[in-house]
Amino acid sequence: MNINLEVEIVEQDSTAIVLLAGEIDAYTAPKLKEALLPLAKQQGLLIEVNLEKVNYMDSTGLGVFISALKATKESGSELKLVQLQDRVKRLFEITALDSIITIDSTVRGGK
Amino acid sequence: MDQQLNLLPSGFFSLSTNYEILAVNHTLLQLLEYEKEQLIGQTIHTILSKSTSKFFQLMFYPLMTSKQKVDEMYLELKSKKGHDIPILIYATSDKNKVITCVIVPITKRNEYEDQLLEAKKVAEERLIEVNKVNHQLKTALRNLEEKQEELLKVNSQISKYKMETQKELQLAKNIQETSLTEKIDNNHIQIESYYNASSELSGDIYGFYQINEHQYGVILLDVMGHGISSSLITMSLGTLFQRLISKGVPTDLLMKELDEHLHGLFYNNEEAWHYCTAIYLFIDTNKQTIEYVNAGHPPGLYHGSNDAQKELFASSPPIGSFEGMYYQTNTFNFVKGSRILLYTDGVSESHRRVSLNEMLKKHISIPIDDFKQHLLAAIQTDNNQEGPHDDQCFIIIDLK
Repeated sequence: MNINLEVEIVEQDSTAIVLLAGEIDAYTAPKLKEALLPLAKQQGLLIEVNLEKVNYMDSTGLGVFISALKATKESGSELKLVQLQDRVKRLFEITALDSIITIDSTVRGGK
Repeated sequence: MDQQLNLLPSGFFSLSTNYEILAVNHTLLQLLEYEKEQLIGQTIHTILSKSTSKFFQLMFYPLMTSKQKVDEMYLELKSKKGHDIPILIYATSDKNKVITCVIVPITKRNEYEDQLLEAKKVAEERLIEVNKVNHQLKTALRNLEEKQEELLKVNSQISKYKMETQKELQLAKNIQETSLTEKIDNNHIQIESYYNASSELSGDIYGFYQINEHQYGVILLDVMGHGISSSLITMSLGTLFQRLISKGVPTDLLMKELDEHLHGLFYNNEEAWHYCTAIYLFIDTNKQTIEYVNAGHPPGLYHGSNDAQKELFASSPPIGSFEGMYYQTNTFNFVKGSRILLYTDGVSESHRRVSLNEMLKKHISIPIDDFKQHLLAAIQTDNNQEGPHDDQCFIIIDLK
């Protein structure tokens, strides 16, 4: 899977909205990590990652979110995933990561 | 003067022995812009340019005296208005010493000669340019040949390196596969497995061990990603879980040990950090119980003899993800004739989980080997369509 991942960050006050579009896999995960980790290391920031336009994610992508969550725990920030497609949300459920990471209950129809 | 001589296309005139002009034709008069009366009786020097006058005395006079003839001598005439006119002169003298001259203006010829000289000069310059470019091309060609030779050499080195790497990877694959356990088949239990790396080395690993007469430990792990880095971690975990399972370490403690081992591997090395999903089953055939811990792994499928299915969902996140996690053990009773399917996400991605549930239900009555073949055929069909993106591994357990 080597499709580009678009990453857009909008920061306002103490909130950072990260808009993602594409697929998150071994090829694109480094790009996401590069964008997300510096935010997660900032103090007292609410990071809201919008996954509405992400239709595929593999274990490498999950790894980025685990790293980001760990960083927010240390910096006192908060990570929240919103608008996940069914397929991606199922991945968090199967791995039981939905019990650790805050995931918005609103789920949009995906593939 | 004869009319024809008067209209000759060349200039004509005659001179006396004193070099006075005796006769002149119309063509020459037009060329020099004189009237006939203005030239007759005048010395020849009237119509010669200043430089030609000297030359005329030095060359023309002696030649006419000695040879009575001049052929194709270059001179410059001077018109009435003072314009210099280049000409070629032919002259002879008769028995009365009268000198008859014919002149041909060569203004056009000079222009042509100048053009020819210019063209020659341009051609020579072009030739120099061509030679220069030719030299540059030869140099470039020589450089290209040298580069090509270097490329061939590098290519040969790469091919050699690739071959050696491939050989090493194949050897590593053999070593990794050697670490996998052999199938178990006795009066209480039968365990079969399948293992397919998406590249030479896999991030999946499994193990099943008979702990004592009635107890068995079955584990399946999937390290994040795949390839060399993931495979190295599987080998490290494999050594640990083999030792722990063989000792009969409790399920939750085993998972905790593996979790701590992973955290220890990447302590102070965030860049190399990997996590791992794992499911561990502790089966007691005497008590007919199964204790399991699922750490972020796709749910194992249990199919009882009465067609009831149970999914062994994860109750905690993958090992290596967060420190200090609690790994909850779940226990259930099984009935003889049940079948369990454990798999990695490489299998469930190619086959939606529902599909695996249905396959398990549909083929519950066929022998374990045949069920394995059914699963393999289904996986192979998907692989043929898209190729395996991830490592694929599954374990089938029949409880007798």
